[in-house]
Amino acid sequence: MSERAETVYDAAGSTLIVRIRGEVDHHTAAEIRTGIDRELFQRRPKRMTMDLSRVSFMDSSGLGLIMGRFSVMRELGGEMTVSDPSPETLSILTLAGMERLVKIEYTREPPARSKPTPAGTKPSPDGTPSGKGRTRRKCKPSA
Amino acid sequence: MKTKQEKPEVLNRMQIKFPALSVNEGMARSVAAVFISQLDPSVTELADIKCAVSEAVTNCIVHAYRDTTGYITLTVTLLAGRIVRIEVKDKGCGIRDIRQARQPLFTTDTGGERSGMGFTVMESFTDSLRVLSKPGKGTTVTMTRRLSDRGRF
Ligand SMILES: Nc1ncnc2c1ncn2[C@@H]1O[C@H](COP(=O)(O)OP(=O)(O)OP(=O)(O)O)[C@@H](O)[C@H]1O
Ligand SMILES: [Mg+2]
Repeated sequence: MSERAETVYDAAGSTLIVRIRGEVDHHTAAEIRTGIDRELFQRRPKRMTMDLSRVSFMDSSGLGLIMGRFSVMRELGGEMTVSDPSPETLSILTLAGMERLVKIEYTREPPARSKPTPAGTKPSPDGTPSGKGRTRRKCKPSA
Repeated sequence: MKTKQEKPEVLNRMQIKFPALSVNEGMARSVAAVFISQLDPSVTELADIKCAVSEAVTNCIVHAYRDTTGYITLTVTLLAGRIVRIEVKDKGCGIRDIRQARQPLFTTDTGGERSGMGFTVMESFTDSLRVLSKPGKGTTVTMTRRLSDRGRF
């Protein structure tokens, strides 16, 4: 129904990788949420990784989506991480202090010109990417 | 209300009015971005503004017209000095306590997976945010952002 966002699932051992592609807003979040929760309750993975490398837009509805999935994973006794946030998602994740709730990890190159944040460590207090001079760059495909 | 203060010259303006349907969230921010593009904003500036517009429009759909339907008016004004002014107006339920509503993490929609970060995003991604609201009458959110010169001469 919504051509603006797409979700693809990959299993890697006991980890479910959820790759979201496109625009995450209030309109698309509903469908993304239903899809992810269906997978989660069916597969009951130990770990869920939400890959945001191909998200071209995200507003606070995306924050709600992440926080909600975090709760579901906790309910299922598993844990959740966010991986490779695109430049379009990184600024709002940082603004919300999302790294205090979920681990943000980089499995490939971090977005252009923003400070790399090693998985599991907190960025410096003023590590907010001001975005000045930031350039749009597609993440290189892995492999 | 009226002041003698000099107002920046209006260079261009566009206005759209659309029903409060979630499918219009993407349309509204895209239309705003296309209009603003004539000022050649940076990629980041455009991304910030799109996000701020999305927050304001989504609030009309999720909150203002929660139990009703109605229209949203989006006005984008380009002012001298590379200033972009965005106004998002609804005639919905209004906000009783604006100060509280603007607090980070505050939301009245606790069952709907909302983060309560919408106003914080609007405030952070623009230079100024003004919220006017009357319970039962509606809400008008006005944001401005000055675009950088980026080596313009
Ligand atoms: N246009 C509006 N009309 C009526 N109430 C509003 C409007 N905009 C915001 N509000 C009220 O202000 C609160 C805070 O808004 P804000 O956008 O910051 O968070 P949210 O919409 O609840 O969550 P999020 O934006 O993170 O999804 C809302 O929960 C709602 O009660
Ligand atoms: Mg909101």
